[in-house]
Amino acid sequence: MSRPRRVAVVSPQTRLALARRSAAGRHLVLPPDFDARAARRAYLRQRRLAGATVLTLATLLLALPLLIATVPQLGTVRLVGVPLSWLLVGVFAHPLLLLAAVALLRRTERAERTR
Amino acid sequence: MTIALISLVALAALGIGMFSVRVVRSTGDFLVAARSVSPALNGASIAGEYLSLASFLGVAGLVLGSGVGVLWFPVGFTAGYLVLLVAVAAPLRRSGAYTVPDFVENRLGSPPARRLAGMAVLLIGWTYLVPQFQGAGRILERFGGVPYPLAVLLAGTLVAVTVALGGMRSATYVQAFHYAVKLFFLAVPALVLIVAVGPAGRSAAVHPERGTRFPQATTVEFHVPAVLQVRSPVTVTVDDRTAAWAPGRHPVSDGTRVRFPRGAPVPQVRGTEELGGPAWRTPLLHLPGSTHPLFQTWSLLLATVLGTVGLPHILVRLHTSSDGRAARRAVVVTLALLGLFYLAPAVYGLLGRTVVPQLYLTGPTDTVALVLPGAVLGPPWGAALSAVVAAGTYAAFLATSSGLLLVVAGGIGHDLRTGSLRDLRMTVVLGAAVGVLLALPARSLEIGVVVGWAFAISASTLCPLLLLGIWWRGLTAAGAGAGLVVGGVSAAGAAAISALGAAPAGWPRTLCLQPAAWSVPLACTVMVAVSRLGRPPAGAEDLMLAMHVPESAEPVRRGR
Repeated sequence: MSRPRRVAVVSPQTRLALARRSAAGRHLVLPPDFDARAARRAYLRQRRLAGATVLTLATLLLALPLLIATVPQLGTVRLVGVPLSWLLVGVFAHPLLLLAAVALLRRTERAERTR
Repeated sequence: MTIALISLVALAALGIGMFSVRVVRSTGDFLVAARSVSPALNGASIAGEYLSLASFLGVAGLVLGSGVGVLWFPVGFTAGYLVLLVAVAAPLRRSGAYTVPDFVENRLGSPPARRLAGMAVLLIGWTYLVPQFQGAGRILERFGGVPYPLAVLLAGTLVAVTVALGGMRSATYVQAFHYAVKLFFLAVPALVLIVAVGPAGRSAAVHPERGTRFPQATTVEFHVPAVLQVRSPVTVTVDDRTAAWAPGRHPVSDGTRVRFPRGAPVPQVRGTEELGGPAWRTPLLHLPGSTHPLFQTWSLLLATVLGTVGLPHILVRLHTSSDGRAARRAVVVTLALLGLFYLAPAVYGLLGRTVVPQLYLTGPTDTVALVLPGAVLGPPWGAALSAVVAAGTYAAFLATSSGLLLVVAGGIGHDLRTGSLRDLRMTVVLGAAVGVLLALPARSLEIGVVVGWAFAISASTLCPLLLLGIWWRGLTAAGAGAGLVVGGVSAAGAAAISALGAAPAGWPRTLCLQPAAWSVPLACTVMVAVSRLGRPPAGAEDLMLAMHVPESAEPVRRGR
């Protein structure tokens, strides 16, 4: 297996800051082949995905505590001896988050393959 | 034995750091390591750095002390990675900026805004170092018999030396090693304990409505005055004198030793929820002294989810990935590893209620994970397992604290003053010293609560800055600066008021204990409103768009 060469990396900003010490901020220069229209399309696709994800996550995280606060039966129904409300928060939430993460990773990568 | 095991883990980590890479010692190496790392390894190293002593001990202790609602902490800690995945990881990696202050200068071209972002990094770093030092102090106090202030000082010195010697050189390997240590030293003992308590123990742990009783005759030594609410008559021994306690209130003074007989119900301490009572067993956050559990839960979730996004020591690690895509994949690996790990503190907390309920009476409950193995298994295996957990916890302490201390030191050196490597060593010492000084008076605070504040500050400062900087072209340096100041002052101020116990009971106390619900929207509003008053820097839109362009070696397939 060929290993990629190890490169010591320094942020361009840090290198600049170290090199010039004083001087007004100079920002990153755009890559020479920068295509603003393609970039805009990529941005919009990712923004749609990110926006939908954050909204869904927010809705779920608002709704689940509300559900637990308003439906006390969740604390009395038991699955393998453990109250359902405990399982929802302590156990089930984690595989759900992982499934969501894997699905989102696929969608962001697919969004990047089409231009 | 505990101390020996702790030293072994610390030495192993230091060894990996010292010997696996011998590269040129430039400031760049010291700060961000070299990059040729696969997403899986990088994901493990992010998890290794993120899973801290404070979140582990803090969550386990708070579950025992204030109930299963604390299980929302891990949910927020993990869900934050979903936001990192879709909104931050790839664009930040592609921006080429290593730290948030770098990002600010890159995006907004403003040295003053960079400096403010640097101060936010310091504020978050120090606030998050406090519970790490507190926890490390408690371990050494419990197992080494070292007085708390000296134990905190030792912990601070150890981290400072580790960082000054190693920096970020091969930190990826060290941190991935730390994740493995945490899994085997903290999560595996949890499984052992689940088996060891037997069917009756397991059933008792998940049936709090049966009441919480002392499993054997227990002597409880109170270090702070407390008022106990006794429900049924009980005969206790107070400082060697037998007393019959009728139902009602029984004040206990500082230094009193009370011996409860086997099977006696655990009395309620005034000002906290009844151990295993209705509030304790409902999964909503009931922190002691505050009200409105639903609001607290929501506010905590906001703080932990968005706080994760702004944690400077985690953001730095995204850059070890070779490109934006690898950064995203590493985030998914991290999320999987976190979910696996976070079952452990819940187990310690739940078993702790039935096995060592006396911790609830004396507080702080943070030591439950360390005490539990001994109480369940008895000597010699209990002592051995306790030592394993203590060593794992200390590994967690070293992992997170060195990452935090490094961003703090980097922040002092780069963002506030410019510095060479030599200066960086000085800033490491300075950073650790401030953390130690803050942790000394924080002895009586619950670790988990302080962790919550660090996340709330991060959610109110760097998180809105990053999200707006990555997704909104209209952000200006003035807007970013104003939002950072308002968010930082309000969240840190609320935390300080809570720490001093200065907030009046009811809503004010709750709002100060869980500030994120108001400080995050406030910071965002100020950032947007002040930005709207000015005009974004020239070329801001292109700079923002450039972060979203995937790096690709293959020729671009053009759609329409």
